Amino acid sequence: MFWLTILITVLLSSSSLAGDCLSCHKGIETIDKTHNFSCESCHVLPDKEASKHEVIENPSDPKYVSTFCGKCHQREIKEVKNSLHSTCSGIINQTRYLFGAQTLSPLYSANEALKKIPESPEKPSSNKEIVDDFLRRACLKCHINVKGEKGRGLYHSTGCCACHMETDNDGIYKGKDSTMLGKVGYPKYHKFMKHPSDKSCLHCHNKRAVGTDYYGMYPHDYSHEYRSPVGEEKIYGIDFHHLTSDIHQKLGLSCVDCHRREIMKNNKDTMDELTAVGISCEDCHGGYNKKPNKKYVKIINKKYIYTSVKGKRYTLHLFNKDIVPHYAFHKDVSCSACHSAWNYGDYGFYIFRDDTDNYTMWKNLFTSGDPEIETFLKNAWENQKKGIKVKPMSKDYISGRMEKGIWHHGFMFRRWEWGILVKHNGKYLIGRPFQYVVTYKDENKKVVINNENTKWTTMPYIPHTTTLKGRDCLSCHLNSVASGNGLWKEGKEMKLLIPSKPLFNYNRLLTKQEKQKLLNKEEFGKYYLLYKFKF
Amino acid sequence: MKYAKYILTIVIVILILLAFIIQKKRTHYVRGKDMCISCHKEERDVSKSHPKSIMGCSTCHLGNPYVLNKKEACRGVIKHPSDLSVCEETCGDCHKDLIEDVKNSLMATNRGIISSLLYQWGFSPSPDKEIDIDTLKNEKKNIAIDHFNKMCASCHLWKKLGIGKGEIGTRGGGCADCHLINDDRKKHPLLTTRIPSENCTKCHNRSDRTGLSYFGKFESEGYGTPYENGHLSSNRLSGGRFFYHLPSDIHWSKAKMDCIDCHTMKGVMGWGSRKNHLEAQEEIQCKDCHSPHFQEVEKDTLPLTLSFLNEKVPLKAGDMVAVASRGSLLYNVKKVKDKVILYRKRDGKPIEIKLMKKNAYHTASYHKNLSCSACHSRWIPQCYGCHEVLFKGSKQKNWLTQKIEEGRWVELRSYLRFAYPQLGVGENGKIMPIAPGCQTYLSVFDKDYNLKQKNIIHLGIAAFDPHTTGKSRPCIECHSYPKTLGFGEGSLSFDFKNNTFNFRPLYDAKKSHLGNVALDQMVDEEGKPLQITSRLHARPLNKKELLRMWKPSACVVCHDRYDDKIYKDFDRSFKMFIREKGKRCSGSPY
Repeated sequence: MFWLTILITVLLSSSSLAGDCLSCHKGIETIDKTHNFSCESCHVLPDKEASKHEVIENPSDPKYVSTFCGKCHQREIKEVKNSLHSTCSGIINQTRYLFGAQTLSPLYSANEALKKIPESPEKPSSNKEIVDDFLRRACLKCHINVKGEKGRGLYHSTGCCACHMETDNDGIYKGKDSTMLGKVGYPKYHKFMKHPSDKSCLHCHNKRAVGTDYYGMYPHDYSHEYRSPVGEEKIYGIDFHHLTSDIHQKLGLSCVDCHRREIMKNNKDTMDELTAVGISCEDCHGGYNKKPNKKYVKIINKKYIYTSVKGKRYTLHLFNKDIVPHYAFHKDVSCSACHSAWNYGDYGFYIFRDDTDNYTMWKNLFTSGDPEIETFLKNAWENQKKGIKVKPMSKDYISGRMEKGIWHHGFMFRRWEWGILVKHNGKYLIGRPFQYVVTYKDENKKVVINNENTKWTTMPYIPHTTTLKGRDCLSCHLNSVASGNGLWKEGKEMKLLIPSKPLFNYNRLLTKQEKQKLLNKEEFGKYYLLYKFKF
Repeated sequence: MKYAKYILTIVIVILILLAFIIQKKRTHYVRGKDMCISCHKEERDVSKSHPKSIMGCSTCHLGNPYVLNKKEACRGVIKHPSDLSVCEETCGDCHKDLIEDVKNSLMATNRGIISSLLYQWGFSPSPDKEIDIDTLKNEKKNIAIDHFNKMCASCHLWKKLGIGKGEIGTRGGGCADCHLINDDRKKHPLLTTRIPSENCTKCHNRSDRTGLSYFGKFESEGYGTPYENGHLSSNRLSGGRFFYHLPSDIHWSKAKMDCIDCHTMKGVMGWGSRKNHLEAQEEIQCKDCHSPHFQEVEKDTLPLTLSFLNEKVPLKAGDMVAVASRGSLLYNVKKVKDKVILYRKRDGKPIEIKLMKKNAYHTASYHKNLSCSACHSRWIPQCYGCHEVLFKGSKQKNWLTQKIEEGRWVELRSYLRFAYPQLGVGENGKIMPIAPGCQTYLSVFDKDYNLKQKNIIHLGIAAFDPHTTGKSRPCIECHSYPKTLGFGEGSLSFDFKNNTFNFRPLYDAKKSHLGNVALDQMVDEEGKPLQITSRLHARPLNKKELLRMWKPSACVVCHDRYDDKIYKDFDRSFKMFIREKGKRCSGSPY
């Protein structure tokens, strides 16, 4: 009866044209209670006509969002436009700085909020010239102005719908509109979600960054030797190891339980994603001198209660300063430094733009997390064997054009068990290495950039692999990798374990004294004893 | 017309060549052992002890040495005389006993590989089955034997030299497999007893990979990085594999010793009787050189012959040389005055051996059950998850029959690690490094490429010396790291009241569809093995051993000297510590 009422309301409130829409899109879901408008009011531009099929598929696309959604959501649209989800300012400006193309300040963005990221010259000859091409083709597939790669788990819409509409992993519309049913590249239903589901976040936040780690997923290595038939179908372009997942995930909390409105916030002047995060562990669990934040937590019967967006109630475990690892000597240590079970660590990041059609060279490395490139390379290689010439091309996600050449990348080794400590705003955090080495071979097989290092850095981050019980003390104390001294002095590639200076003036590596303190056994031994034996 | 010029050139070249060949054919008898050298004039001596002036060619290569007609002379000539199928007629003329030894040695029989494989895949109740390459054909066919035939059987002495591409082609050929040096492809190869390590590593770079580890190479994850001059890395191994550099074995980094400097003739070529596994044939042990005992070299004995053949290592009757654990004399380890000197076999360079110090860290009674490699191995290649996939619709060469047969194997893996070797108990009862070998996940695809059998799991581990000798590992790395103890990466705690371990692995095997056991977890909280070893008596640590190792885990942080008084009677110290709640512990904050 409820649905019938809505349907009738829709039919009545809409003009006769809406009726025409519904003659084809019969059965399409009502988007939600509050957006109960005619089809035309959202999908047809004011100067166009629906009858001529001049419809806008996605009115929330940044191109049209002001026209359609702007009537009510002017403030949000303005904020979102300047948020990191739209600007990608962190990725762009940090990477450009590392490649020597700019100073360390927020200058460029993926959209028009700041200056739009420039294009690389036709024939780039240095790291700083090629960086924009690298960003445009290899990195910026994932801001809300563009649809991502086409591949399982990677389909997403643009604009508001990138987050607020559910897109299924296979990108297929599965609702009741028989015209749209089964079409690829559309949301699952014609329905808004007030709270984006984790699936929506993971369409972009996957592979080697925070996102998939919350689900305990760690991507396999790229070589054909790691494409085992055992396990699940590839998702996000690659197979995954499953490690222990975040305790909050196990308990049923979703991404938006912690990450709220601030992810849509104006962050025009920010290029550090870490400082843009609005919540900390202490907001719910309390800390050394901190009580839980009433914004998130309610006190009921002297208990701290958190209610999730799904409506489930949780009694919170509060920070207990009486257990040994929580003694005052750790007050400069962030929660995540100990409570992360594992973290991403890609040692050596070798990127290679290959404009030649030498696909054979890469034949064991076609899989690298980008399903579109993988399919292209496979087909091109097969065709080449038959004698058909195929030029390597890949998409510039900002301009939408196909450009010559394909970006390949690889690592030296990747480890989930090593955490290197860095200091962020006076707190110890786990750092993640970014060690770019660039190669560019042009179409005449001339190696223009040959294995050239950029600036290297180790950036603090918060792994989303929280466990109730922290890591063993020895993952930092008396641990030469964590302290930043590396594992061994011998072995050419072992120098990759030595961290490089983090960006931003509030970040730094451990000082000599801090390293000494971390590797000092007497002071540590006392409390380790206390911790182990719990007398 | 465009090509006329080229065709003309080619014709002229062919004519010149023909003339040259005809010229060569008009040979005259040349003085020597046989008439072969009338044609093959340019050939050099194979080695000092195989001079062509005395042995000619036919002693080794057979044929008819008494005629000048090529067709007659070359009838029955053998290209590779040391091939095990013919060597009794050739090399066997002089080296009959050696051939007997070699044919029964593990490098010829592959018994260790075959029987361990059959055992781990559940086709044999024991890893000590007496089954060899030459008796394999009598065995009932099964999937494990099919796997051996196609994937492993390209590495044994019976394999014919030159069959297969690339590195595989250089393997096999009996004596020649090790003793041949192909320094110049235009000339006859040389025979040597100064066997270069490259001859060993052309085979020993798979499985336990000692041939790589020793030289500080680690088979990489296959990224082909760092890129070089627009190509993938030049740090390459056979079969499209790559490597990167880790610390090499100290015997290589400091002394540049080759494989043969430790591995003796008998240890490599066998004892005449067929042994089940490597450790029954191998005779060298660390102590043979580092706390040696000596024996005088007598006249006309083997060490003198070996030294004579080696040409570089000086030795005379009456010298005192070290004795290996099975009684062979190490002719290159000599007592000179009060020093022990190793002469490098490659070039005779003397290197002083550091003797094992009688310090507390070597004499401590609680460590008497440790092998040297338990502490001194800095890393070990760990290849977690070996996904064996059989495609019945494709074909692959059976290396034993040399025929292309139905069914193609593809070997895939989960992940690699090198740091923090795990510990277990070796076949000899000593604590040794232990690593995955092989953790098989078997999938079979039928002729239409449909997955027929999925995930038949045989998790295997193996204890071996990884050949990454160096400075000893710190105490905490063994006593306090859950991985080293055998639990793997994860969170380990101990409940002292109930004497129980509590371990949560980091790797979620179930969600990864890899069975119920995390790949790096060898033992459960009760000390029961979760994975099988390749030997009957080798195993992960049991609960008693785990407890013994775990108890001092907090103490070793500060009390990191072996002569520390708390270790004189650690059980007593520990009981006292618990009773007094740590009050007397100098480091204690109570």
